[in-house]
Amino acid sequence: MDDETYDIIVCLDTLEHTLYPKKIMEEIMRVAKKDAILFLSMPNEFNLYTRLKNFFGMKTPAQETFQTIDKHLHIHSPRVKDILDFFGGFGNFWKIKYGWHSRSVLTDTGVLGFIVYPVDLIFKMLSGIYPNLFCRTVAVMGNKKLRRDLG
Amino acid sequence: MKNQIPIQIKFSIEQIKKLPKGKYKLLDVGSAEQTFFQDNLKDKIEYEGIDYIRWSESDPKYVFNLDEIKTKNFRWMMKPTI
Repeated sequence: MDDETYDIIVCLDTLEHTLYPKKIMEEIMRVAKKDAILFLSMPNEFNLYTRLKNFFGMKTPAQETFQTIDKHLHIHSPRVKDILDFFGGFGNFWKIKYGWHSRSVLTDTGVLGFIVYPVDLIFKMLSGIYPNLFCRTVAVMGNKKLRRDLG
Repeated sequence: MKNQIPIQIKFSIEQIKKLPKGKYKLLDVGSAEQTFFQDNLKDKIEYEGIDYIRWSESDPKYVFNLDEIKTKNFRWMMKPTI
């Protein structure tokens, strides 16, 4: 792939699955045009759902001990701050979206989806106020950092 | 409730729609979102996706290479986990 090829690069909920996210970001920077727009996202693994599950000795679907690689689960478990610091090392981001969605709302046709839906709406509102706890996904929009930005 | 667009994808599509008119060359690293992007931004983007990112055990320097992915016909292998 040639240098500076793409106008827009999206990498959504992908980096946490990879062994070397920094190397992937460096490669993204290489193929992105100077004025490219980046959309990146990663899940906040320290959200309320995860914390409660862990508190009661349970695991989330992304936490399968000893099978992380085999099942392509999350290798990295960042907090909101970790995500923003990581992305901030590569881009200047002017829009940050903190969001909450439950898997069942996205996939279930049954009763569970409808039960979880109103809870999701409340959490969505709270995610903007206290993202560390109520945000499940951090999505950012911005430009890639140029060398002169990096000093 | 089925098939709602995940927040991060919805956010990206909304923002891309707001960009000035034109055709944008878009690279989707991870490629879970091909249908959403192509359905919603038909006239605005030229979509290209990398649907498999090597784990790089053998060569940590090698992260991904679209040509090789196309040649070897790698498939999507990462399950959505949220």
